[in-house]
Amino acid sequence: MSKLLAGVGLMAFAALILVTLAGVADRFVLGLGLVWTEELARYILIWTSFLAAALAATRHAHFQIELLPDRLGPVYRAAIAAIAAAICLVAAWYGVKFAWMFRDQHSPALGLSMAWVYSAAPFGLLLIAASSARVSVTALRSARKARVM
Amino acid sequence: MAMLFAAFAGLMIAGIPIALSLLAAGMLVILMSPRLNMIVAPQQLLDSLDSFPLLAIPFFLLTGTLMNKGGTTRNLIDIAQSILGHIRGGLSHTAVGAGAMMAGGSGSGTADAAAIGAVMIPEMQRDGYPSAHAAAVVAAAGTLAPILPPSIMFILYGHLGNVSVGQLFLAGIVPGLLYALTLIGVSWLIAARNGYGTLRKRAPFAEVLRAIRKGFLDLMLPVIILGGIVGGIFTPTEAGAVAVVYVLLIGAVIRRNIGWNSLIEAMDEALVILGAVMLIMAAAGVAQFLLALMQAGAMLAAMLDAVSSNPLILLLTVQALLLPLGMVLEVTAVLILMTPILVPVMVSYGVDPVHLGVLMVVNLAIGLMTPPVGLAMFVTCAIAKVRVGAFTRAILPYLGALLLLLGVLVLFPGISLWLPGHLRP
Repeated sequence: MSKLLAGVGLMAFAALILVTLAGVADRFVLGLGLVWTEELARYILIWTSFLAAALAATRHAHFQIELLPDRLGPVYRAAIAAIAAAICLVAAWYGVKFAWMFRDQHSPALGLSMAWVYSAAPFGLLLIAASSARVSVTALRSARKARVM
Repeated sequence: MAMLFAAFAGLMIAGIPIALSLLAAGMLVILMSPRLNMIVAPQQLLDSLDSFPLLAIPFFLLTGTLMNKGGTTRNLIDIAQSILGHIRGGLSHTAVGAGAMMAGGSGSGTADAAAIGAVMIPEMQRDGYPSAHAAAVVAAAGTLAPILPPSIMFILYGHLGNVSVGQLFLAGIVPGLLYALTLIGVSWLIAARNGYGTLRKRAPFAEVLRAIRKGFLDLMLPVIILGGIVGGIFTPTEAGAVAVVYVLLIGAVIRRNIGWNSLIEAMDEALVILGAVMLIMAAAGVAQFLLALMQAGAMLAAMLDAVSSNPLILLLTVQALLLPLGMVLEVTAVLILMTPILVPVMVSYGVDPVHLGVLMVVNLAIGLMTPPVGLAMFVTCAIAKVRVGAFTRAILPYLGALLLLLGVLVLFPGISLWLPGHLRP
């Protein structure tokens, strides 16, 4: 999942740079008065951010204080990761509702349904929940192994 | 409000990622208040990221990681060493000098500390510097990145406090240089007292020139970024996109040392940091919305009113408040939460928002290298393989000197405001 996410994220990155530079080029060279570049760049940023957040979750790169999980062992770590996953799931559920509510509203310049933009949040949160769940399962497994030995 | 902070702190200490702790605390408060619908949680999550100026963050992160792949770090270290290497404690000064030059292209202190540390810490260890000292100096050098432009902290502050990012970038230059000089001064004192490192001969002028010629294109990056912003050619956001393209051009076309693989690695590294920063930004959006609803600003104003109405004393109070927050919390989170509350209140007391921005960023930069959660500290401790305890003892003299500098910056607003006053972007 990490690889796939990285690939999508990279494409989003490239798109961000191109769209922003298109805006600069337009102002100085082309002079077409492109209005959609700014809007599109913002929407790509939202998607990139949530995908990047999911990628960061697979690499354990989200800032967190490891003091207690390090001391209290794998069962505690599993519980904490499960809570984190639950937080993401709850937020994702309301994210889906929110995106659905705005399915008929369209963006001013591109005429894009806002549901497409807003689904970035639940999508990213679901992926984070998935990797938290995986951390939880791995920690539980190592706890069981330790007990057997 | 107490519930918001208690839930946040509790979850965070328990070991839940900071962004998720913030999000959960926000959702809990929404759930408890009868007037609010849970739908505001995703709404605020998304809304706080929906901003064109924030685009500068991925761009300057990528510029930083690309600089490492393209040999910019090495070139800048060579320049710093040819100029500062012969002074006692030369490798420490080299790390600080390189940090200052790196800061001119990248926006993240943690990334800079990692890049400089990878080269300088082993070199310092070989030359007889204690590992803890090496880790401390490099962490401190990395914290120059948020102060010297371009800076992600200034972008966030400007965005949240409605302050011109261009002005903030300019205002960071003189304090940033003073910060670097302070670090060099302390390193010199420590090295002279303990006899760290071998003394080297001063590099001949020709060698300085050679190092500068080799790194000339790297040195031009901050000139292009700042020149473009001050000259009104592009916005800070667009400057970020231009910086990425410039570094790519140098690496992929001129020097040919950035291939597909290193480009993908650089993007991947930048994305991971971006994800961590933006998730905090999004989650903080929910908390901010609630704080505004609870009129946290008015409460803070009432609190400050009880202290004094003298802007100088208030600034010192705010600094004293921020310092422990920056130490125990992740500094980006502190900046994002405090800026929207602090700026209007302090401006109403006659404090210049640009000056306040510089003070907040310097203050929080210090938090990047202090235990328990300083990110630059973690990075360099990992490279140098030292424990946080030893690092803490080594960083103390630097902290003392930097706090003095912070006091000087509070007392003399001219240090930060002179440059932006003369060059209006």
